[in-house]
Amino acid sequence: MRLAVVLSRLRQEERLIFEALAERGIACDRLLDSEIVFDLTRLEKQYDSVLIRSISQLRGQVCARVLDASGTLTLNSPSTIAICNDKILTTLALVKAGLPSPRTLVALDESSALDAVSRVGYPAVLKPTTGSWGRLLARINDRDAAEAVIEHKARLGSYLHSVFYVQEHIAKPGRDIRVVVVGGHAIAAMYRVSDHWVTNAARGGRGINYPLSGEAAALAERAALAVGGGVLAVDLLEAPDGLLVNEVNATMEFKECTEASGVDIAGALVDYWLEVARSGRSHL
Amino acid sequence: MLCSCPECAGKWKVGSLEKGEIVVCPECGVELEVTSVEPLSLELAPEEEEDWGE
Repeated sequence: MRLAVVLSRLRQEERLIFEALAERGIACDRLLDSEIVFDLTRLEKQYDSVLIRSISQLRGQVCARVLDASGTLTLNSPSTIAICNDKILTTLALVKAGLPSPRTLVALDESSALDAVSRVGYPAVLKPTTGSWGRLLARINDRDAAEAVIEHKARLGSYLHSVFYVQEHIAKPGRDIRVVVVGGHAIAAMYRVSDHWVTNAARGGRGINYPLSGEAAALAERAALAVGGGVLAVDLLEAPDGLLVNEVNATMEFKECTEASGVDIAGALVDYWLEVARSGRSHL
Repeated sequence: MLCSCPECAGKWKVGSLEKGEIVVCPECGVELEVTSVEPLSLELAPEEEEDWGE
């Protein structure tokens, strides 16, 4: 079986994955996404399955699409990666599956974005439709702030920032819940705790063990299925009326959750990947 | 392995390095990316891009 991992950097997560592969006696190539050249007119299947671990969401998405076109199975699948990389597609998938998520409006113009914020009510949250790590999130407390942030976003330089993704603000208790789902099963979870309203680990959120409950596990598993399944990290918010699905991540970072939960996430990921690769299906 | 920082010319030794790894120069604190192991090549690590993440 020919396997490869596409990566941008060798982080702790990738080290853990390569260690898990080595422990199982599995050979695997490393493909730095910065060095890859695809010949689209002469596509060749070089691997049975490729694990996508790019930090760049765009690079990961391109690699998955081209590899898929060559008949190579990727984990996650191109469609799952595309859905998770786009917050609008993620929200649509969650809503279609009937999953609870924060009320979300999308506007395509500065004045309609102001209208969307006022319809959601203050405080509201403005997010980029792409991107991660809590980057460029804004909590809008009043109309003055809304006008300023919307004007600044429209002039940031990328047309993507003129798509305004407006979400109701959830008064979470200083934390959110991250659940790791592998092959349809929630296997580990943690609280991400922060004094800041943004609780992403990349923004300083600390991982604390969260004893996985039936409700959180079931919700995360349904969210993972809604975006196409595979290896995913589902972020849940504790709202006054119950849990909400906030985001689903297709190229999850898991060292914090490994430490907080004590679960060998890399081992579970590799075991699932091998199972999928042997089955010849994109996911099980 | 003997490392040399392309930013400050500081030198230090490490046991082993792998391609794609990020190391921090102990002299000036800049992040460096291992772009080649044989021969060893360190370059300034790229700044975070807008599409980086999970």
